[in-house]
Amino acid sequence: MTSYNGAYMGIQLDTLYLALPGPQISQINLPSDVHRHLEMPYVMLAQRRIPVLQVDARLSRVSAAEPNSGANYIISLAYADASGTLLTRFALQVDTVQQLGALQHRPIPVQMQRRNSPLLGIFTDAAKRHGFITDVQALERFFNHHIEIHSHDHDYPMAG
Amino acid sequence: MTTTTLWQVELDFPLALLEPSVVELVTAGEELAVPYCHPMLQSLLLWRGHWIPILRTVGNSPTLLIVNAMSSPDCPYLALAMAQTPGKCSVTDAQFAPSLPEGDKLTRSPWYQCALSAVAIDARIIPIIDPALCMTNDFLNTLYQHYRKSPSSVR
Repeated sequence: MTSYNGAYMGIQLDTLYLALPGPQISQINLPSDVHRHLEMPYVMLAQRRIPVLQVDARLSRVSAAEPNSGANYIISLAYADASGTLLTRFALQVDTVQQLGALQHRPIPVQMQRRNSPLLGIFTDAAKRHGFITDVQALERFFNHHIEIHSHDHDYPMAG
Repeated sequence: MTTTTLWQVELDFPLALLEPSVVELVTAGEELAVPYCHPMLQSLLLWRGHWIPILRTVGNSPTLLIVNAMSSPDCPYLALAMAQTPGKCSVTDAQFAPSLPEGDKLTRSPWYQCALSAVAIDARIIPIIDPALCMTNDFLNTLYQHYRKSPSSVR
């Protein structure tokens, strides 16, 4: 469970509703900001290319973001490393982004959880909608695991 | 001769529960599907302010029986999806712990892994399950392997 107690940002991926710590969204882009190099989509952040990924609502498929997917925003996701330096290693294609404020976490029973699940808990927003808490490290761990299992692509396409 | 009250429940398999194991029957609960989780526990029920896992072996039945799994501290309650509404019955001592022939097909059901005992009711031998044992990884994985072979009963 994440120990973060500050404001969260909510993101919608089709039917999947996620919340992650607000400071972990380092940049928000539009689909028109996405460039491609050798089919790998990326956005620019501080003169670096940040790969753009997409994931389905069932968390069963992770891939490079497809053009014309209908997503509305690209969010670049950052976390602080051990020295406190902010790292942005990937961006994610999402349908909506919204501010949520502080959230109360409810645990997901451990018996349900699969290893490397990015879902760290459950929240309910002010409109009484339920979603799942995540954070950048959990997403990165999940993406790494998923890409290794499903594509045998060990050249992990993240920046940094 | 003493009698004991049991709940007879139908999932994909006839089962019995001791009376203290049963908490409440829910027929129109708020459910939340959880992606990327154990295939036998794919959603949660919002019940009395807590999210509790739903164990489904009978498709999308809205009839859920909340059971006590107190010896499982992380998850003290579990919702079992029912094929039909459960009913109470009284059984005598003589009906308890019938012997099963070795290799009997009943004992090959994964539900026997979480059985405390068994009882003979209407010429059927029915395991009496401990809900806490339903939440062990071993049992859930065995159940999943069992239903992979006959997936029609699982969502």
